[in-house]
Amino acid sequence: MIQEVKKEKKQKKSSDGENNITWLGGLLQTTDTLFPSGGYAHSYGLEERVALGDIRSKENLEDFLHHEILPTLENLELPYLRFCFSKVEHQEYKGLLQLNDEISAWKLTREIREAGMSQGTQMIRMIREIYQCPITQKFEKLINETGAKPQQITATALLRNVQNAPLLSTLTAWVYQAVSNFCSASVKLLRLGEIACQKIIHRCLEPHQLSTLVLGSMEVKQKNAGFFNPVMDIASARHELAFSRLFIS
Amino acid sequence: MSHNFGLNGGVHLQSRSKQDGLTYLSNQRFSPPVHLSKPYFDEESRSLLVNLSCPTAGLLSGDKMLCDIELFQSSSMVVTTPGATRSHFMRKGLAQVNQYFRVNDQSFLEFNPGSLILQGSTNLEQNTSVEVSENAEILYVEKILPGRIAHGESFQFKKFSNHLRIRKNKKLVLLESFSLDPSNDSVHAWRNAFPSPFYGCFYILSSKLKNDLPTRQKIHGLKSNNLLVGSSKIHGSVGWVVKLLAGDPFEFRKAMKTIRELLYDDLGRTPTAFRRY
Repeated sequence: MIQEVKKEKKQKKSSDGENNITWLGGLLQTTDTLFPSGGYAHSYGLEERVALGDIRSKENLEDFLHHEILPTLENLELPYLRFCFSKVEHQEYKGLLQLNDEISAWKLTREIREAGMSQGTQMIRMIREIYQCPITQKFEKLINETGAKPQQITATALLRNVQNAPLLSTLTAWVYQAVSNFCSASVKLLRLGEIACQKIIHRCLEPHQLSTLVLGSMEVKQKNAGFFNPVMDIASARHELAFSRLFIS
Repeated sequence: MSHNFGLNGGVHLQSRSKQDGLTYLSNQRFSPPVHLSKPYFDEESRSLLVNLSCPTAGLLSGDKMLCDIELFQSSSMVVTTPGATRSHFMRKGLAQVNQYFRVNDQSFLEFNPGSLILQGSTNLEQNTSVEVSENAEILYVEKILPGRIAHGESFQFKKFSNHLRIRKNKKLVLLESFSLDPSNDSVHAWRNAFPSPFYGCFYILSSKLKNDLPTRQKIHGLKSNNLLVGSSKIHGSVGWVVKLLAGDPFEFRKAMKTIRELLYDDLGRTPTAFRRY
């Protein structure tokens, strides 16, 4: 882990030079809402949490993001993104396929699992359309042979690799996208205004908190990666049978 | 000088069935902290009921408990405990529970122990591995209480780590891993669900439930002001997971009982009475 951070610092130092920020353009393009990742159609369980009545205001949303979503990112999603990132970097396809299976297995509810799969599939398609990436091509061939589908986390690791994005920036971008997706869904679900959303995103990305979160995630070992949120699991499961809904998940 | 008074024991069980379909224990070994009662064959459900009890009244620091259960030849077994399993106060150290369940050859296992009570200052690590072959079935049940609720003790445990891996036909289908520490956000959602939240989960794997869980609407219909419940399909369409949170012990017991009966209905099986008097 320490080696990874050192390598990252080294990368950062060199990438601070004007000649080595070529990865930043790609990262900005693919984290932008214009990039067709399909995220806008999902609330990732938030819609049912609103229906259950425990998230009703911007204060509730912020509490939910700080105490449920950010810890989930730190203990589960960011570590898995880092594991995938490393496998892609070393072109360990078998290990990457195993991680992809694990991600599908820890997404306990169908909607959340399938949201990850549809966004992962879409992202692989976009990599194919935009970049010439032999690693992604080979992974796509191998995963098609197994009949499995790529998860968004796995596809993101492939995308960031082809963009040459450094690991810490990759993890930070994932945090931004996760928080931003929930805020985007809350515009419809809670009728929050754009300024309120931007304030919430800003506080979630507060520098000290963000660096603690990202560096904390670097400490998580694969055996211990995970998070317990039975309320979210139940909400996501109930959303599958909801009478009316705005979002796919 | 440090002393470790922990017990390193557990239970190994293997079941098979005779030609007439009766399930019997083909192999059994146990040692403290586990004691095995005399198995009872339930004529109505055609399952062998096995009660695991704990002579030390619960798990203490340094205890290492193994539970290794394997079923063959279309045998059918229900494993439970006479009461709750308490993970007691620990000044230092931790207790470990390692569980292995392998269900082969069209066999059926229900593993449904009493609630796990995470008492004040306890530190418990539980690792569970479930392997289910093509036509075998399992109903694996977890019930967790965040303390001795009746004594006003809630979320005062030190740490609880739980790692569950379920494989069907050697393929990983479910992975649930978490480490709970009441001093941080790891229990935030659970703690805020109800003032005294009781947690339960059913993992049911059967090729009969590949596409549908017939009683799913009924299960979701149990939701009330004091009960949150939801069910979803496990990865690979091999079964279902049903989670619930209840606000009091009565609602919890009632919901656990009802859902168990509904899931047995879905399996086309008769539930075995636990014979707790």
